Amino acid sequence: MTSRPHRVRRPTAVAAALAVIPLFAACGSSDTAGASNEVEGSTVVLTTITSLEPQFKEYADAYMKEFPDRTVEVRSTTDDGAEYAQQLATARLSEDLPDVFFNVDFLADTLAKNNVTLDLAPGIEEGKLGDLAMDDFLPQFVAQYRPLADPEQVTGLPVSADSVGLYYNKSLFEQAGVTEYPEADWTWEDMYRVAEEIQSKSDGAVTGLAAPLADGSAQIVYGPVIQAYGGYVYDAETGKSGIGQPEAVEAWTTLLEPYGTASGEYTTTGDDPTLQFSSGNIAMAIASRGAVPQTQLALTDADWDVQVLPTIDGSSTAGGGSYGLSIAQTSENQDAAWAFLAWFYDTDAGMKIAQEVGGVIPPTEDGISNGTWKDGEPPPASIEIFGESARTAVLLTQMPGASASVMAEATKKATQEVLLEGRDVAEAFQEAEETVNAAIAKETK
Amino acid sequence: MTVTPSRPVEPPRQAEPAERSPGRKDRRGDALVAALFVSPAMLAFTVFVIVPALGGLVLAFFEWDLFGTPVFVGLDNLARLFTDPAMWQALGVTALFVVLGVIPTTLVGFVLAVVVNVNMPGIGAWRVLYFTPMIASAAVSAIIWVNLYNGRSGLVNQFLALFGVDGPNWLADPTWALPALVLMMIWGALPIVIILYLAGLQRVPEDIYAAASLDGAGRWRQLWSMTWPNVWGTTVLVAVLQAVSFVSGSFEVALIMTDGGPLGTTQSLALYSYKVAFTERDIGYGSALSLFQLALIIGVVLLSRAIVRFRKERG
Repeated sequence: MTSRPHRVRRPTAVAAALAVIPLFAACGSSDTAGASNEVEGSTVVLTTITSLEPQFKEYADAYMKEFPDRTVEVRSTTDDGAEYAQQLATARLSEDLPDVFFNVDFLADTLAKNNVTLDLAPGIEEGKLGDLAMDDFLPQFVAQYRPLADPEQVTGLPVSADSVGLYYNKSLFEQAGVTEYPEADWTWEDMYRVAEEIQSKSDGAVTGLAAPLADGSAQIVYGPVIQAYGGYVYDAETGKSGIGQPEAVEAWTTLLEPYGTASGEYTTTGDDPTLQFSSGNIAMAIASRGAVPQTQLALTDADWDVQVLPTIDGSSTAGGGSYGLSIAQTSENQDAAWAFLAWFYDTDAGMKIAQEVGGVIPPTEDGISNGTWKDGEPPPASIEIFGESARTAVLLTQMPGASASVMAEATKKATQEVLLEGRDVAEAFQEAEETVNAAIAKETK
Repeated sequence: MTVTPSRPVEPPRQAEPAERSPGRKDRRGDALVAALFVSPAMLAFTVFVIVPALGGLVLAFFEWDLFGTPVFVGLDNLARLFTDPAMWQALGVTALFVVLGVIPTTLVGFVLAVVVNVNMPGIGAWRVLYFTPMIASAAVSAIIWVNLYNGRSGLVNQFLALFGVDGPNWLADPTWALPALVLMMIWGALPIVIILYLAGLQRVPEDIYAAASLDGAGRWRQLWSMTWPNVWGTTVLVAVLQAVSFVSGSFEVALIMTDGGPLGTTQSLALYSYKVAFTERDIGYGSALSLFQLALIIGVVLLSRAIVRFRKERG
């Protein structure tokens, strides 16, 4: 009897050790250097999120048609940011990272810090991207892929210069008997006033404005509003968040104002149908350029358009962001990966197809001014507003490690405390600021 | 209307006498064959469940952000469990999910199984209706229920409005969000509970009902004094399975429908550990939370076994 437990325990301990040895062996290692290879006859593996897979398959097909000796294999498994990060980590542990992969602002710094992504700056300087130089890209979009610890590096290239605009459904304005459409010189007061009028005249049947703050975590909206009031979300120099500072509190007060009057009631998830302009029941909504194709498909019978975002004290409140493409440090096909990127970012090659297929706005000055992205069939008739917005947009703030995710949870909690419990705005967001600053401190210790 | 059980009455089978008792060699051969049949499943289970679970257990003693090098922190993550107010809130929410979910699911499932277990015209259509929630995945069901619960356009509030009741904004109301999710989960759990109870009801001997009828027991008396005690084993099984299901199943439902809100009122331990691990990328503490949840589930299972043993001992 006495020997039995030992017989059980020993294999268990061994199994536990075996389970984690390969896991830890690969963690944090940066010694698995990538390599170059022949471009002709190469196969590049490209990973993206599920919703972008069809577009990227079309880009890959076009590339392989132009270069029949080269293969680009597009893979995707999820649309969820957290899951995507988890899968990249798993791929890294199994030393099976794709050659080229989807990167995004909230993940870029972590990937760079842990030597997952290749610094593209030297390659671009060497001309690996063809005629394109770093200066051709809009600097604020490239900045999202500059590691906080070493801003000289660039670990990803933006694919589309996305910014937000004010979508409005003229049919619903008419239905509510309101004829005052959004104008370029509108302020946030104008937007709220008209939204309230629509909601009240339609007896609540039409939502005047999809709540700009959504569930409380819409940084693409609150970031520029805080900045317009003179505040900041994150100051890289001091390494502190300012979401609880007096200027930011003014911004939160403005953002929390429309729930229930100009907008619907508060909802706990940003995916709620009452927040989707494409539901056809919302007169106005702040949404990114990326929502255009979906809206075109959904609102076939409605007359709708877009306008630049209203201002606060004369300042633009347009937010923006992008996803990017990165090359893995461990890629054995780096030359082939560069060749694909050179083709993809060429305004007359990949970017041309990306504009036609994915409605992408090229993240270059030339692409914004001369691209074909604005030549599509209306609606929206005023799609060119996204070009101007992209130039002036306040982009999502790059923050260390997972602190941006902590901030999303903290602002959401503070929003709920104010709206559902009647907590004081300043108190709620000061507490949120403390939470975020603690997370930043943990990430940077 | 006379309600009769649908199962044809079969005489209990008599055990056939064995032609010869198997020898040691035969038994060893049988064991070998059995091991061969079971080994592929055991291997897959070990590789895909046991080993990762052990890996998760070990990770609870490290600080790791998914990408960097894990740092050994000893018992820090486990100690943090008890000083983390969000963990206590999540634990309370998990307990509420179980308490509010398991008891109604078990009782309603039993009653519906009894209703379905009869011969009457159109019963086939009813049975199909009861089982429809099984067709939809939890994710699809959750999205349907989000629309049903919508404060302004949802069918639930429109139905309540017929009676002059102004329904709340269900999923954004700190009081109603959890019951709303529990109701949806009960709806989703009922088909499997009904199937289990149907199987249990099929094993109840017919003759005891005949004897009870002769003694003048009515239908309700038969139901609560004869049927219910005779499916006790099934009830324990259902309760344990549902407890585990409400602990772990609350994860995806809350993630999709409320993201744990409002104010954490629907954030169960499973969802909290997921957020800590993959949103905050604090894998070590997320693993410690999962480990704690595993310990709780084991505790529930052991408790149920103790209850069954206690009842058996009491006869």
